[in-house]
Amino acid sequence: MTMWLQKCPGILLALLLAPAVSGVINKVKALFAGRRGPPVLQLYFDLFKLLAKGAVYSRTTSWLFRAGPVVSVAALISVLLIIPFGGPSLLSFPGDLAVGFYLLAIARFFTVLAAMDTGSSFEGMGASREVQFSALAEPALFLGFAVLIRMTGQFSFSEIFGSMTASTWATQAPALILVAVVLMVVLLAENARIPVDDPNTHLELTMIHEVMVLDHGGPDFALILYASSLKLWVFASWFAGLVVPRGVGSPAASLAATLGGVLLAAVLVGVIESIMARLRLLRVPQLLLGAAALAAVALLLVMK
Amino acid sequence: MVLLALACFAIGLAGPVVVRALAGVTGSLAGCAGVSCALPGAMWPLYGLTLLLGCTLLLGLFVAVTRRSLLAGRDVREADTWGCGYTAASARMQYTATSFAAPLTHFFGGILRVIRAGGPVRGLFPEPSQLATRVPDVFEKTLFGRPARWVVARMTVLRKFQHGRMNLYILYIALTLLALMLWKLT
Repeated sequence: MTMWLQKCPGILLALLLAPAVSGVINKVKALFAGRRGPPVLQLYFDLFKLLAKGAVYSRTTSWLFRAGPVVSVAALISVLLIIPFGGPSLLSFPGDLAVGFYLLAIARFFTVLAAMDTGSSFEGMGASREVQFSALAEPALFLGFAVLIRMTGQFSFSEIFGSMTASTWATQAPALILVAVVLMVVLLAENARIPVDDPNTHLELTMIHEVMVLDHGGPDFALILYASSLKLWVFASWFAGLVVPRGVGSPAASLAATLGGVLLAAVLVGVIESIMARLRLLRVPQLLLGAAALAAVALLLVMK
Repeated sequence: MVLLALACFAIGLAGPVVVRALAGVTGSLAGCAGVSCALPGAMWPLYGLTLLLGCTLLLGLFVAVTRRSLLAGRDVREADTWGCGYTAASARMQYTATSFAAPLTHFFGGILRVIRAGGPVRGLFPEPSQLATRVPDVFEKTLFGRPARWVVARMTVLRKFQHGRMNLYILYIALTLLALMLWKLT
């Protein structure tokens, strides 16, 4: 029973606090630009507003369009079940990390299907870009985790991050730093952040993720926004699990430290978005392949 | 086809049951009985996977029901697909499979070698123009196409033995049987 109580706070925190991460990013960006910026809780206000609305559907859409947001949220919450947060995850088994990656892919696949279901050429274009970039981000992510698997000898998120102690950092710092950089690049690409995509842009020709969800409204759009914030939380907690070593004290202290790691990821994203411009679309594959190359170098470092 | 797809879905969701059912076969191949011996360490990940995917399905059901109940009694309308001010969109303007795959085929252009015929319109009063692209099968073209064609060209010589005359076919069988008999005798 105490074991279960230890495992629950992580997922509860994720479900409750995930929308605040983008609020922190926006606050950091506002700070850099010398503005006051929207409140940290802005996304919660947006979600409540959207959940109270009706909906308008395109005449060309089918059940696939309505299934997209539902599948995304269900898949993302399932990923949270296998991700540890300051303690063991709710569910863990050898090889769960591959399942986690492919649950993220299922969420993306249904978003892409929903976008193409509208028949809009803009949304088809966004869908095409989304799958191109995620196809290139996947090798980087797999290679990054291959480094951690090689380092710890474990095959599940819970065991991998559970073995990430201060002594691991003391002995394997160069490879871990490279993996942290790779995770950050993949976080930026997968969550449609600058320099890959601009979450604030409203010009269809340059958008990637946002253009895919143009036709969603009301509760469906609320589900999409919530799923996006959960996805950001998933990547931020991987980053936090890597940079915040375990075994620093009581479970509560470990939880607080990992929460600090998520906050650090959010601040880093805010800083990157403030000091960098968006890359040209043709340059994005080079960034992602560069990340994969870094992960390969880290793999060579741990295989010696 | 649908049945096969459903079978794949069922195997994915009920891995432990399927593996247990196949344990007899794997056991006889591995030379011992039981799943734990034939596939050591396979059951726990399969149970975990089934549990996780079961949770995903239940969560999906829960979110779908919540969404439906939220929209019940509210204003739910139908309209045209959003077209950024353009309201006469037709299916001809939709993204095709070629356009969808274009970024990746462009990126891997060095390997795929897209064949392009025609080009864009030119000049102020352009002539009618057309463009056709084709992505040839890279493995067929570079790997097995040429050797396969070579073998086919050589093997056409054997076609003359396949002529449809039943009496000669019976002669082939008789000659084969005779050859086998002689082989056995020696």
